[in-house]
Amino acid sequence: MSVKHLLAFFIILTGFFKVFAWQEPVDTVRLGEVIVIAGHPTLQQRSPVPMQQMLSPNLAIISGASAAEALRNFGGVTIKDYGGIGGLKTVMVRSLGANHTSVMLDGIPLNDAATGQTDLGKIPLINLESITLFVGQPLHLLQPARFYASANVIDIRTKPFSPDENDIKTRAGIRSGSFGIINPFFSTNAEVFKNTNAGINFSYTSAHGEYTFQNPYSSEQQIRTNSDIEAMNTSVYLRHRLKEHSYLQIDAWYYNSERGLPGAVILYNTHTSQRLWNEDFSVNLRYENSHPEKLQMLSLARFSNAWLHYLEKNYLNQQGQLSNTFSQQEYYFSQAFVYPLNSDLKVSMASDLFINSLDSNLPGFAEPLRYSWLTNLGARYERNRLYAQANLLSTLVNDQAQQSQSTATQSALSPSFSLAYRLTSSEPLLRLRFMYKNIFRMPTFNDLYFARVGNPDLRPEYAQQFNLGMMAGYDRNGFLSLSGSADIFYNAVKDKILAIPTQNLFVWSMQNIGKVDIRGLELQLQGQYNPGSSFAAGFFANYTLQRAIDITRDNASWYRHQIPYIPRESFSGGINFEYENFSLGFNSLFNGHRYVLAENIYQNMLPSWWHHDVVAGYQFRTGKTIFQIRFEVNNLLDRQYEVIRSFPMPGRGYFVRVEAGF
Amino acid sequence: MKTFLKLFILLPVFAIFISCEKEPEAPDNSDDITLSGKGIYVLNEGLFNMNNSTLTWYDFETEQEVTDWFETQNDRKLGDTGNDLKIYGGKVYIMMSGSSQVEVLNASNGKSLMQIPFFDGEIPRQPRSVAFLHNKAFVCSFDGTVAVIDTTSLQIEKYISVGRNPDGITTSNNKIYVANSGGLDFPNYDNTVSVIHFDTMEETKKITVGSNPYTLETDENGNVYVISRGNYDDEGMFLHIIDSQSDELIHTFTDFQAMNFTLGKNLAYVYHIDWMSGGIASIMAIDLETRAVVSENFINDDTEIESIYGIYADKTTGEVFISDAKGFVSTGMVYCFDSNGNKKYSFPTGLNPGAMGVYYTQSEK
Repeated sequence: MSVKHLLAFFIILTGFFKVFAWQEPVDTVRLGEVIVIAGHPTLQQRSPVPMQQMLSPNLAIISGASAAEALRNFGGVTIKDYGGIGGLKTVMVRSLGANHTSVMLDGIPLNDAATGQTDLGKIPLINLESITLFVGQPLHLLQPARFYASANVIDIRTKPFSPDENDIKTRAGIRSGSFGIINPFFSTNAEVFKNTNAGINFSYTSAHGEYTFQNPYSSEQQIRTNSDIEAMNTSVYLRHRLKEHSYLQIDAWYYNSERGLPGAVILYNTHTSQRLWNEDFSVNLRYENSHPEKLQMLSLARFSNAWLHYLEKNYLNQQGQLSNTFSQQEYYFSQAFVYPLNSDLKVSMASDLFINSLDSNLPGFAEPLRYSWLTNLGARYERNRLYAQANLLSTLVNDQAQQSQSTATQSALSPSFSLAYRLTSSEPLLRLRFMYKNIFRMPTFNDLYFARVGNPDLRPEYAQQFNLGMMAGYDRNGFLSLSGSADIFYNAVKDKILAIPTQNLFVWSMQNIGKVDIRGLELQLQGQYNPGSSFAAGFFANYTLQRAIDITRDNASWYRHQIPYIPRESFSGGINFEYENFSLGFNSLFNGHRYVLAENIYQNMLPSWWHHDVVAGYQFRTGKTIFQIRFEVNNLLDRQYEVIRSFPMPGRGYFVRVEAGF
Repeated sequence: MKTFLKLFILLPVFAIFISCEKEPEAPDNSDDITLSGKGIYVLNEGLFNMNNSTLTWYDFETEQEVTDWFETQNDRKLGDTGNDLKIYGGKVYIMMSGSSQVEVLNASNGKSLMQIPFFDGEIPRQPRSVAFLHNKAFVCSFDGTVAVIDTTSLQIEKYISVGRNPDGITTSNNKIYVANSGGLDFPNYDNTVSVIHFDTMEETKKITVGSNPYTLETDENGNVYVISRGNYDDEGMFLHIIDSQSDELIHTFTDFQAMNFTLGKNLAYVYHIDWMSGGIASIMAIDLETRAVVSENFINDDTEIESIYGIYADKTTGEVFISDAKGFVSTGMVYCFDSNGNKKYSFPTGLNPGAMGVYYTQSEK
């Protein structure tokens, strides 16, 4: 059977199905206002780009303190976790470095201009409404151009910014337990004037963070010290509804923390004296008009400031300490339009201008300034069985640095295309999907200008993403619903930015030298059983197989070896039961063995690990008030493991959480 | 409900996929160890914070290498960032900078005799380099001290204050010379060599050389050679000579740059990596008497060193050992050359092989 025959067969087959096409059962929801997405799980089943989502009921069965503990259950996700309450947690998706993933909190990009990464540890798990991971870009059309400008997007929404199904306006509670963690939280929203709503979301975390661990090198029992944290997270908003589909909103976010950095576990040397202070602030003004039949518009203006102070006491220099401060600012403007040409075809345009600056007390610091101008043109065609979207992103970046006295301009065009096609007309619904995206990441300020290490001549790091998948959905009147997907993906990275030693191990330099070939398989399955009585149950399972190999140099001893920290296999799964007022959830994670350096040899291996959590809850209602109490056992089997070499993870922990909402 | 239950049974199907790939197993060295008592120790620096410093033993008679020889013989790991290794009086002294320990081994079998902690209260001193004189070991540490260790009792007898972040040490003419790098004060490096008199055990003089002095070695006439690594910017890397009689800087080689060197019998082997020109290093041989470059390229055959990381000359045989860090994140190599620069053999090591030391059971230097 030739390719021609196969193709003909396929066309006839799809045509056959078309004749018997039924009315699309789940296509009535419009995607104009982003908040609709959060309450609409079926989007996941028809998305042309791989998409995973956890809504607040799923998030409720996750044990943990930050968004990282929820995200690590997603397929294809690798969290780089330095352990402990205050440990840095960054996210890699489908073997692409953390710089290729942008993290949005209530629509605001959180990525740090110096490192290009986001510490998920800064985002408390409490009060999250949804976490959505998009490979490629989010599906909403009315969004800033920045949402198109990375290989993966994690869209995190907090509760007070989203409508609540139970109409709970105010929540207050506390989570406490092992590692001395005390985490009170509070959120409320109210109509303060006619058509004007205001909300506040507050949480505070304090922990000594100490835990016993088994030294991975000597098997000795030791205590992780200098791992305390105190952090405060506040966001407020004021939203005025202008018309049915338009509003004006001002919101602000403030984060403040002090923590000890316990550092790597060093054999025969337990000294630790590093501290870190963070203070982040952002204020945003936005206007949105999302009338589904008319020209839609989103305007956004933002200012943000991030300040960081790193202190190493007992440093062996003249001052006897190393004290560095970094301060960065961003001015951000975005304008986006969506215009429906007809009921099937919509076109969109978004243009973002942002200015980033970084300053430090380091001697001879480059004080870089970056102007970025992103413009995205997009179109979506959606009719019956077909869902197709195409985007073209143009990027123009201009860098200026005092040190090099020169300016460098980079420009690129990044196309992306995605398509989903429904094959069947009745349950189970089967869909095929395909996605292609050509994207890059800019070198970060640290890559370019960090003292001695930075290399101002760096070019962007390019990634091409391909995905081919099949989705299946089955729903029996809400009584039983099942959905699953199987995707194969191929990512090719070139000009990967890597630090390599130049003259000696004290002088490293960033270079565009890496080439990575990534192939993988992602399987997902989730289900809900809801017979309408007092019993309900659900489950999810994700399996990822990734082969991410270094193909930079064929004469290197690590040629075609798996790149560092990417497990070949990972699995996550969870089941939860609800019976009357009781709920019980069980959650498991598996990470296959990984290598910490390029060579796949025993000396560089980190063993695989399993991690299990249990969460049990009870809730009851008195009048208008809902009370909840939850118990969590984290790392049930007290497994000793490392995600990053020399940074052991905490063992078993017990937590209790009480919450009142009305 | 039944369908649902079936699915729960199906869940383990996922598990079937899991762990298809086995973890690699630990290499077993226990069977093939033979001791002729003649060989070379290679200290593999490892990478900072990874606790993967190792010690390779290459046996000259069996022509076999063992990495990690230390762990094999002591059932524990060497530690983090091994910076220097020297052999004296039948003992191997290893400076573990990251672990802040000095490890002393019996040179004939690699078994640890003493692990000496280097802490000032709780603050790690970070030992960097060692030299010997009259049965004392002198260990310079990044905290600006030189520790005096009795080579019989292996006890620290005294700490002598020197300059900032000393990084190299040697002895000559009854004195100890310490290179004060000031490396942790970048870009404000130190540029002095401290002189300690053995009789008083106190710093008597500071000799000004170039910025960021590092490796120090003494030739057979007592002259002290030192490299200053400059500021990695506009100041170059130069080799200087100090006269140990007058304790004055008497010569600077200005017609070439030098990143590292070692002294052979009558020759200095000097190399420099000019990163801008592609990072290829050539090893020069310099006559110690005439101070003239005898050879621009010591390596006589087609051996290619990818990332030269350490150099060591056996003054008895005239052999030169050159270590190759390859990509700095992978298994390294050591090449042995005869005095004419022809490769005799090579063997693989651990990560970032740097300091080396030849040991002969009977007639060790």
